[in-house]
Amino acid sequence: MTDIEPETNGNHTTSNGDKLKTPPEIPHISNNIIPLSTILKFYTQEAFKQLSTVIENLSSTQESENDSVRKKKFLETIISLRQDFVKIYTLVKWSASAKDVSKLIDLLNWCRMQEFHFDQLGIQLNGLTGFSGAKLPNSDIITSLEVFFKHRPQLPSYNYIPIQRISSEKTLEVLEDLNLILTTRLALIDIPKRLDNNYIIKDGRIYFSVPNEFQVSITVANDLIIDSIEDYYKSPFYFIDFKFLFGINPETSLITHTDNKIVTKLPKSSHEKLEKTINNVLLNQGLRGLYDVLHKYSISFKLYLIAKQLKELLINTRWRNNLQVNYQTGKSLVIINYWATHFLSRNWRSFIELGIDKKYNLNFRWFKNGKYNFNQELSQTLSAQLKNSNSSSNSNSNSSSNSNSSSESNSKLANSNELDEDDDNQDIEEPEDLNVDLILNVIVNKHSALIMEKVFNQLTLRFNKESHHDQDQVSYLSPQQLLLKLSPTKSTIFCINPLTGFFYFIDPSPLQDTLTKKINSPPMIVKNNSFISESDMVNNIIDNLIQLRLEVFNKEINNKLLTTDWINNDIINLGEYEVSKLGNFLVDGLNFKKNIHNIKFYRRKNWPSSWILISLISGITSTSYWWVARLKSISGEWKIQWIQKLKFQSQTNNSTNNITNNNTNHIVEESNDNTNTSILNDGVAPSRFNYEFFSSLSTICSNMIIDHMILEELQARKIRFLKTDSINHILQKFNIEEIPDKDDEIHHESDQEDKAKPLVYESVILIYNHNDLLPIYNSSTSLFLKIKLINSNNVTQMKLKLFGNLRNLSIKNSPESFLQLNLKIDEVKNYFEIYDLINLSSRLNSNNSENSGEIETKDGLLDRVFDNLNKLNKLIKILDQLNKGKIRIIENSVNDITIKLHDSLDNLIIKLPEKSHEGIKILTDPDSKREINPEFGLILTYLNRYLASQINTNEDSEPSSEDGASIIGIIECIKEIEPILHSISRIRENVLKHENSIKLANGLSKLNFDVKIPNVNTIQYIFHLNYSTVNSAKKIFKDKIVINLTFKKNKFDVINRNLIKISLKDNLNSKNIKYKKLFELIFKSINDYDLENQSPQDPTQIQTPASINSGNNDAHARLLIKLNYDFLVSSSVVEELMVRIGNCFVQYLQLEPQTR
Amino acid sequence: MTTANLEPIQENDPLIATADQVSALIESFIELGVLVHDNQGTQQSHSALTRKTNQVISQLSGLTSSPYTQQYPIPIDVFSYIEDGRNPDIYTREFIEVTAKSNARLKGKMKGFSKLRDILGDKLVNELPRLAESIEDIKRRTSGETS
Repeated sequence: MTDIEPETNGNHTTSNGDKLKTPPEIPHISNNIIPLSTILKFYTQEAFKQLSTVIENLSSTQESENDSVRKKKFLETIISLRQDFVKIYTLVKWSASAKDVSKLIDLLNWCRMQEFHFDQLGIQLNGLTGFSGAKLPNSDIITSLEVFFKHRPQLPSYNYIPIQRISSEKTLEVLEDLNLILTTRLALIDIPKRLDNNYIIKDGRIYFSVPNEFQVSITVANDLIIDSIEDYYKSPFYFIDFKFLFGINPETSLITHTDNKIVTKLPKSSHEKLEKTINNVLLNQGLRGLYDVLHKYSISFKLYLIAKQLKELLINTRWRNNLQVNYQTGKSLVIINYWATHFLSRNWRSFIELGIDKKYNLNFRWFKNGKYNFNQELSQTLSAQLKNSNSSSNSNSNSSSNSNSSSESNSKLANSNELDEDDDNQDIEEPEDLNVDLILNVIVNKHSALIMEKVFNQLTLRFNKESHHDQDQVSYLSPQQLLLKLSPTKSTIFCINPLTGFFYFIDPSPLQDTLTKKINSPPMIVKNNSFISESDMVNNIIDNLIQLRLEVFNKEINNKLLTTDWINNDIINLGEYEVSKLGNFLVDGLNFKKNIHNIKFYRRKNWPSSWILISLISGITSTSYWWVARLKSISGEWKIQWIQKLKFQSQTNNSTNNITNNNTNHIVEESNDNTNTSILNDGVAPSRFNYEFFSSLSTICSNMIIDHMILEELQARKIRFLKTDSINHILQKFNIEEIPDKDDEIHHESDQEDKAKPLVYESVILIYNHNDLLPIYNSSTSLFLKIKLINSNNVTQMKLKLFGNLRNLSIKNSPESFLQLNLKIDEVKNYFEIYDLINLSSRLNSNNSENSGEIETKDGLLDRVFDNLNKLNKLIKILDQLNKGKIRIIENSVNDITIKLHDSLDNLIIKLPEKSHEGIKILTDPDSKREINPEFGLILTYLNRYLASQINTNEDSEPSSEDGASIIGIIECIKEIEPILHSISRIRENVLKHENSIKLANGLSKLNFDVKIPNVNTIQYIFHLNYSTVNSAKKIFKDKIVINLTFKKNKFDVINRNLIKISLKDNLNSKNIKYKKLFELIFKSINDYDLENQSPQDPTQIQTPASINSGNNDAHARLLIKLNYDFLVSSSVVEELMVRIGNCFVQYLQLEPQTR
Repeated sequence: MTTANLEPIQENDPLIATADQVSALIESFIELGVLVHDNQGTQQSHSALTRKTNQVISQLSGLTSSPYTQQYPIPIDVFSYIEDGRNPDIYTREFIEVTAKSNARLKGKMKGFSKLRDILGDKLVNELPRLAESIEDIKRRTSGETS
């Protein structure tokens, strides 16, 4: 345990006998160390003491304590002692190493001491660093030398010794020397260009003056001539004085440079500061540095003055609230935000920076529309002004300075007179005062003008694109004011306020006021976007202006239309598809946009409700477009059913062969030949919007409507037609003479009037006659309908004239009767015409009430004309038929034809229909004195009914050919039915004759005869047989025997002829068995008749029918075919046969006993 | 080396003798205790007790003047250890360890400073050449190597 390195310590290892002197012993430690013997002694003596005590106690406590207690105490002591000695034993044993441990203790103690020494050493070494002050000063060699030479040192006198005054001669001499030296020095060094030629040497210093900036004077301190830059430090320049060559003009409180009269000197503290700085600069950088520093200094000061001016401007000038200025002292930048309340510029979006550029010249930058803006023109104008001011002071001395870096800045500074914002040099040396107000004005005006220019360009671009003839829609009044045409007659002045950047109208209408608000608020599209560019704003303005134009124009037209009795209809709203239909009419197509175009709907009070005038106007062009259309609302959507564009011939193109009226407006119907369209304007030029245009508009539109209505009516009538403009040409082809001649004749007296009246409209329609209107035989395939509108006494009249060829007429009539039909026939010229005059005003008024789409069927315009034509047609045809049928025509007139069929019959009148869709009627002659046979009347009714039904059924199919045939058939029918009727009257007579002989007891006739005609084909002979029985004499019974007559044909007959079937079948019932005798009589009678007829002649027979038949036709030979209970007889037989049957009844009743 | 056994070398003779004496004394205490405990108050027991007591006293007496034991220095710390019932060998061991560490640290410092001494000496000689001799002397004297 004692391997302490002996060599390091060298202490107690005495083993090295070589060493002469051994190191000192390690100090022995005895503190807190006790020898073992001491311990043993202490413990044994203690033990003995305790034992003694215990034992003594034992004897003394013999009485007081019992044995066990005493024993215990004794034992405790013994045990405690024993334990102590056990420890002692341990200690004794340990003591074997006690010596070594003791050595270790010494050793450790020594080590600690050594460590302490090392620590001390470290501390002392550290202490060495604190000896820096222990330096010796260098020897004062200079003083030593002084002493060496002068034998005494030179000590300060502290002004105790008075200094001799320098004489003025001496001063002058020094100054002159200095002047010379300075001149030489300047000649030998480079001078900054702005300083060069701008200095004066006098009074021993150099005065450098930079015009509009500063004047500084410097000098040197000795007479050294320095000819190289390296040696400059030997004699640098020193600063003497400084002042600014500008300042606040006390009269105008503007920054002025005028003639350098107003200067600003520095306060003392600043001057001292500057002196220090400048001397330092002069030493290190020379004249160049001097110029740079002072130049910056001047510019900064100028900026400060500008900023000060601006701050004043912000208060109580017109710029208030429109300007924001950002200037921080010490920073060479003034930022001016103009139009501070305008959205375009607010929050520093448009501003001017006045500051120092890279060359340390005062300069400006113009920031607008999101970027820095260099406006050549602006800078030029501004620079011109600034230069003027600069050059006036600078011209003599400063020409070189312009070529310097400052040249650009100079020019810009020059600008800055106007554009203060431009970063000009500090060199603003204008004779005029530097007026921030003025500069701001220039910038702001320029900006306004630029914006206005954009607006103007955009507007002209938009307008020119749309129309080529709208010139001068916009023009400049001034750079900030635009004269804008709102409508052909109205215009407004649109301005920008350069102060605020807001737009306004001069003398605004309320509408313009609202638009102004819109224009002056950020455009909707970019509202979310934080940045609004100028073009966004301009677009917004353009849109709004166009909107304004649209609305004003719209209002104007609306007003004019309303004053000319048009009614606006706001309800109509056309869908996109429908609107695109309108576009089809425009040459260049219509790019319809809601906010650029406006479609309005108008109608006249007297128009049918579905007829609408459509006007389309645009905000871009003043040309407008007009249509006449029929609109219908189908399930909520408006549909164009028919549309026609109004075309207006431009005034210069009068040459077209279309109808012109005396007004300035020329109306051209849309025609098939489109040659004209190219010279026609699509729309209406604004120059047209005079009163005539609007007043004639209704006429034009009405005409178009009527035209359309007539055409539609023609279509409804299934009349083929052709509308053409070259009607005269065609008329010549048809050898029809000029109609107006005729017209003139007719309206001879009114002709003058007509001429005086505005002939509003005239057109001719070629109508194709397909043998349906008139027989081609009598006419030609072409008829003409001429429509003429005449305005008289505020009433529009429509003259309709239908005319054409007419020939081969068999009618012989007095023209007077034709006049009833408004018909005129010129047989020489083979010409006819039907005319009609309709009062359109009342006509349209009466019709506009309810669903007018169906006018023509209710009450067509052409009804009368075509009715009359139809009458003529019918007349011609029926006459033709009658002539062919060889029917005797007693008389004819326009409306009826009187014919004689039979002597026994009255004259019949064939009444021609009033209207084209009605049929003819057959009437008895009302003049006849004979009583009208009721049955005949009934038959006629049936026939007329039939005729009417014929017409109706034929309506759809070919209406033509049947008409004539039917009248013949009807007449035939009347002929056939006549003998039957005759027989009826004869039976009646017979019954009446024997009335007395066949009476019942009560006087009632046993036989009543009656006829029923349920329809034209059935005639019932009804015989009522009255009788009474014996049982009840008073009660009268009635039996009925019916004989039916019907027209029949025998299919097996060789000759096709009408036969009459006499049928007794209905009487075949058990009830009639009692009349067996009667039937036997009837059959017998018929048989007899048959037999009689087979014999050549029967003198007893009256042969009336036979005579007719034989006279008429061989086919009508008497014929009697007996069937079971029916008889098929020819019409010639039927009368006699029926009379016989009638007689049989009489006969039977006479034979019959009075009572049964 | 522990306290378990005393090496029977000459140096330890006094200790061995003393240890025997202590051992005998402890034995006597036990017997005395038995006697006290078993004392019936009889004469016989009294005499035995008395004899025994006397023996103890004589043993104590012999121990008090135990010869040659003054040469063993006992640090009080060891004595405290034993009083507290702790093993004194632990004290021994810890003490050795502390000493060894201290020794090592000291050696390091000596080496470090001797280097510093050399370097500083060299620098000083460079700056102040005239001190070279004395410095060399110091080096020599403090290097621990006697030449």
